[in-house]
Amino acid sequence: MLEILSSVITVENIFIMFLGTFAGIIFGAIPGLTTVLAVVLFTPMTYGMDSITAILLLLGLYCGGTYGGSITSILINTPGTPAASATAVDGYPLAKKGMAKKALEMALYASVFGGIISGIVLLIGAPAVAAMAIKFGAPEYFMLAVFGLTMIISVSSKDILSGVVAGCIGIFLSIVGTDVTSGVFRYTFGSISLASGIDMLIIMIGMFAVLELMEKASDILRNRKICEVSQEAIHVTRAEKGVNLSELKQCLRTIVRSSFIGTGIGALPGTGAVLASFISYDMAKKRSPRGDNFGKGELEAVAATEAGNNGVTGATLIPMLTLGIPGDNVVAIMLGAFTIHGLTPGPNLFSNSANVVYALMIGFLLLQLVMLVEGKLVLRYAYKVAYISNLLLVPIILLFCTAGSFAVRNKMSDVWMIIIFAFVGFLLKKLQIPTLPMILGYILGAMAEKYFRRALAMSTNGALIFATRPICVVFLLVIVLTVVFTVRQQYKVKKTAAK
Amino acid sequence: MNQTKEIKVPLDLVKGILISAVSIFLILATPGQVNISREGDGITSRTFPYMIFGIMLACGILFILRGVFTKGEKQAMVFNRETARAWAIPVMTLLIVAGYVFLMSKFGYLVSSVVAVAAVLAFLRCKKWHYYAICVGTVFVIYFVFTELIQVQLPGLPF
Repeated sequence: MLEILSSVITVENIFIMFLGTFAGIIFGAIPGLTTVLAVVLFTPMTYGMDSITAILLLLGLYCGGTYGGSITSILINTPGTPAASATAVDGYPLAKKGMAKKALEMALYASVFGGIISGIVLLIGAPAVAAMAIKFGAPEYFMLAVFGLTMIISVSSKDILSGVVAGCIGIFLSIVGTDVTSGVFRYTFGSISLASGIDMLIIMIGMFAVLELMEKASDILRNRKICEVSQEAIHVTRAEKGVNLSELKQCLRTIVRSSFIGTGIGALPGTGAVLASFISYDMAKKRSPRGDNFGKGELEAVAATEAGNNGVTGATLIPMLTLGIPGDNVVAIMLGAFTIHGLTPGPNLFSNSANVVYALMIGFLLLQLVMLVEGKLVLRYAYKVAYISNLLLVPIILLFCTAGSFAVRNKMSDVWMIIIFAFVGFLLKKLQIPTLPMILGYILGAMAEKYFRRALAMSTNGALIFATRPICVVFLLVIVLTVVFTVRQQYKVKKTAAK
Repeated sequence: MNQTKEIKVPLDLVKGILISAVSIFLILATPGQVNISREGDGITSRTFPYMIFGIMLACGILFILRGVFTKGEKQAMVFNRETARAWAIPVMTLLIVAGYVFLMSKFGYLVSSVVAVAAVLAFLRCKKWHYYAICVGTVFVIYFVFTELIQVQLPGLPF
């Protein structure tokens, strides 16, 4: 234990945690910039770092980014991140009533509490799931990958068919390069640089970061939208009072409940912080004696949404660390970062690199304290970054994209590739094909193929192996139930909408 | 009256045709792109890709059927002067990025980046000189952070 603590608590790590959280808050607070973008742009910077330090930086960005969105939600009614949308409902009216500081502090405390609960569940829950998953053989891994791929259906709520296509594109991208089983080249189209495959970070930089700057450039030239914010900020004065103990006590039950809601939702891949914050808001509204006041500026509502969306952060890491299934875009990129640093997420991670994993989980809890300190320091000023002009952001994002993509493998071909993926991302957006299923497909496709072939090679009954092993049968049932339930649910939603 | 030409095509139809075309191309390209020692060996390096392209093709056909047979209001892709502009600016931005990458491969990160940020700001019709200064400064900061602090090499100077 002491060894683990000493590997986390170093001057370098503490500095990196502060830096990551700070950068995360800034990215979260700027409407139009996302936590995904922050993690994509910062991942190449971690190449020279030790694995724990590198992942702590990315976790800091993740936690800071999730919290940062609330600042602009409250002060300028412009959510920095989609997860902070629910916070604006009551946060901005509170700010207009002259209670901006109270709202900001409540958002911070609730976020930190949500993060801590989530971190504790991660610390307890992840080893248990990993212990169960260690019994998996090739057939079980294949079924697990298929189960992960069924998440495509639940994350493609608007159109399942588009989600399936995106998933297939992702799987295709994952098989480009050298086939690990047979050693033959696949879909390299004569290019030697494609023989080692396409790195996920290159896809992400192209499809998220370069696409983002293309859209920002378009916004500027078509609408002269040089800043995402149209409203004047409400300023926090020094004389303004923060949250007092009795207000904190009043909201404590809601904070605890919402933290667990967020944690529960976060542990399910493909759900996410937006859902958690809205469900937490709804539950708090129904249960609170001040429920009628929700929407008009209620401190408890801010507490509910922020505890809910930050409760997701640690729990999302459970399926990623234990099963190798990312719950959302940010965690998907982190999964790639783990691989870069020689860590392969999945049940074996806990036996092969136990010290690193526990160090990260403890680091995650420490990050919440860092966020508390940093949040207190920056909450009065962080909203100012929302006024940074897009004119400045476009070239700066571009510089990070090219430096980052070159740093992946020191190849100019990777830098050319981001342009191709930006164009693919642009086309997919125009065709309304979502990108998250593509990332899931990329990560799980390679895993599915590898274990599918291994399972069939060890089977004497062909594909029947997937129906004769108990864990596979359980997965099969869960997959069928998930698909039926999701499709039925979406059919109902569409029917109601049509009426 | 100034009438602008407008073409509307059901979105599902466009998606269906594109996805079907891509998947047929990939299915046809597979024998040339994935060499296996013998045909009919059971599970080979081609099996999984064929499965994926088969699913994609099925989805493409379903999109086409949905685009043709769905009754009522359909989502459409509109092609007019406004959408052409909406496509043109991002594509032009991407061309500038392509020019930047070309320069980078010839002259290294520093020189090409200074030219690129100036070109991007000029393209965005930025007239504030201090924005140019900030961006050029950022080029040097990023170069320093990558090459000196985190020891990650960037394309160097050609001389």
